Amino acid sequence: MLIELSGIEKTFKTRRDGVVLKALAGIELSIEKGEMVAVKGPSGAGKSTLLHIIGCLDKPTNGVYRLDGADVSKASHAELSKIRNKKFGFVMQHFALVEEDSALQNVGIPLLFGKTPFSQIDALAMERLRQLGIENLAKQKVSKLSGGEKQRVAIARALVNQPEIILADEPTGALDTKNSIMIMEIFKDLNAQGKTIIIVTHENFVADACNRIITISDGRIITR
Amino acid sequence: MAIVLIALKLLWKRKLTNIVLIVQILLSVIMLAQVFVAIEDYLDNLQAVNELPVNDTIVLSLFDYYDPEYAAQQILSSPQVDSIGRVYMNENTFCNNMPCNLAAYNESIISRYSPGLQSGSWLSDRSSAGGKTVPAVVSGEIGLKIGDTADIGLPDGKTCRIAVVGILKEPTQYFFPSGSASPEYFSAESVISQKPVILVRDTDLGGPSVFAPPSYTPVITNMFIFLKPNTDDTNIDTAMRKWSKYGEATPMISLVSTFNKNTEQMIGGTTIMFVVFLSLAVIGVLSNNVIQSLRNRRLFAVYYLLGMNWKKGAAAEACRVGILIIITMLLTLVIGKLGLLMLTWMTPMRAFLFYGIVFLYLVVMFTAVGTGFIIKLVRDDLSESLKDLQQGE
Repeated sequence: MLIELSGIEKTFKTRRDGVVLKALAGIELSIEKGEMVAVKGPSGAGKSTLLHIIGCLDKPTNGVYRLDGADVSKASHAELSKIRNKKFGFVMQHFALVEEDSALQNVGIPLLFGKTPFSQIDALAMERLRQLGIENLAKQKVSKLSGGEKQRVAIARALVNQPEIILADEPTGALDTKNSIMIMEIFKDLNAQGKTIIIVTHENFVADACNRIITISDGRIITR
Repeated sequence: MAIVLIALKLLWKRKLTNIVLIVQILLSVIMLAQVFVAIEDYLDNLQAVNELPVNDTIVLSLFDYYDPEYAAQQILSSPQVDSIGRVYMNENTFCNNMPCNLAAYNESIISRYSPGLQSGSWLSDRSSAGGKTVPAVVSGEIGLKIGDTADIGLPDGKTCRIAVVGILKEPTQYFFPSGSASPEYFSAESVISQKPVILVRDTDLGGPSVFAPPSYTPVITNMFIFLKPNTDDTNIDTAMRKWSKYGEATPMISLVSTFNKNTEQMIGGTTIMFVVFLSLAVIGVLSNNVIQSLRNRRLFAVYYLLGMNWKKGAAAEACRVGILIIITMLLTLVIGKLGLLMLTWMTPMRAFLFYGIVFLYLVVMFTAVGTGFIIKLVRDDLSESLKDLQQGE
């Protein structure tokens, strides 16, 4: 089992009045290697929080998270950042790109935090842009690109470290239909190449493209 | 290495803001130099004035129409007077190819006044006197050492050879009463000079006549009347009224205390001006840096997403601040060389001290906000930054 969540809880204290909010309330979830999973649910259901826990961006308050058999729920922040860099590729709704940098520079960022020699960063980043057919955008500033192009740059960046798992948070949320379809085709291809893909989405056509749909509400999984 | 690279990227991304920030800091350093020089000047003057013979001393600013010799004879006949101090001065002497002042003190001055020396002995030590050379105390700028001899031209057209017995401490300051000693106009510049100088005993030089071309009487602007110890105030007042026909008589102690009071007020005013200016500079610099830090926060959230931990982020921010301090410090050296920091007004030791203050100033200015940003980075709930990122902010 690649991802195994058991009794995962996450609580937050609101800043204003200190009220404790339960974002996740006992999540039980297993995801196998090579799956393509959609996580659906209404706003505030806890989808993004779940994605943060799975992606080692945040730690659960309670419960056990096993990634590739290793318990990472108690790992230090430094260890989590290494896991994040090595095992995950992230694709966000609003791209999370550095707008003033070129596409090539953006794709190379994850390599800065690993052990890749600096001299190889550009070549590896270029290889990923080529894989997605956008090597012609390499030198262009991200701020000058269209939404579809930006999302392809973000996917190239997610792939540059050759991670096992791609986590996508509403990856088509800021795109038109044509670009949304194109992005989903890329995800399907990657899945066919063996990547595990987890997509948080509102959109049915995105969820329908996945092998499994998990619905979450009030911090609990209600269908899987 | 990655940390340095990120720090350099951060600096390059905000290059315009960084340039503005550095220019702001450099302007404030230029102002700091002006304040530093003003305060050191005030303090030097204060110290020099307080080295002057003060107790039982009356300064007499002679009226031009009285012969100084006649006035001196008349005053010396008063029962309250112990002796009269005189300084003969020339401002156009050359020594070791350097233009400088020449001042000859009489015995009364030499026995009561002792300027700070960096080496050697004062003119009151007669052990070095005798022979064909004139014992002299000189300022360091002239470039002579203890025991050196040099020829100087005298105002009467003759020359004499001096032998250096003492070197004045830096910055050069000595008794040179060329201005008015009236309480109304009195300032340190009236009695103290900072130009390179040769100080000698008048009798060693051959008397006052060497200070004037033949047929002219040497001009003494101020005469110093040294009273007998324990002369009571009534007697002093009576004598001063009597001497007022020769010039304006004022007790030295009252001149010095007025000068001290005025200087304290000037230092107070300068300090207030500096504090106001510093506050404005701090506000400008901090707001500039806060804006930068806020912008960098989004970038750090992206880096966090991609595998950077907050510790590395904090290290990159510290590195950015360090690079800014180094660049700005190097630029202060450049503007110092260009003469914008008034370094020629400082002794080498003081210039070194000034740069030490500038370094501390830069460290405080740059790290204040850098530290704030690092604390925020480490303490804050990272989910907030990531939420902002997900919402496209």
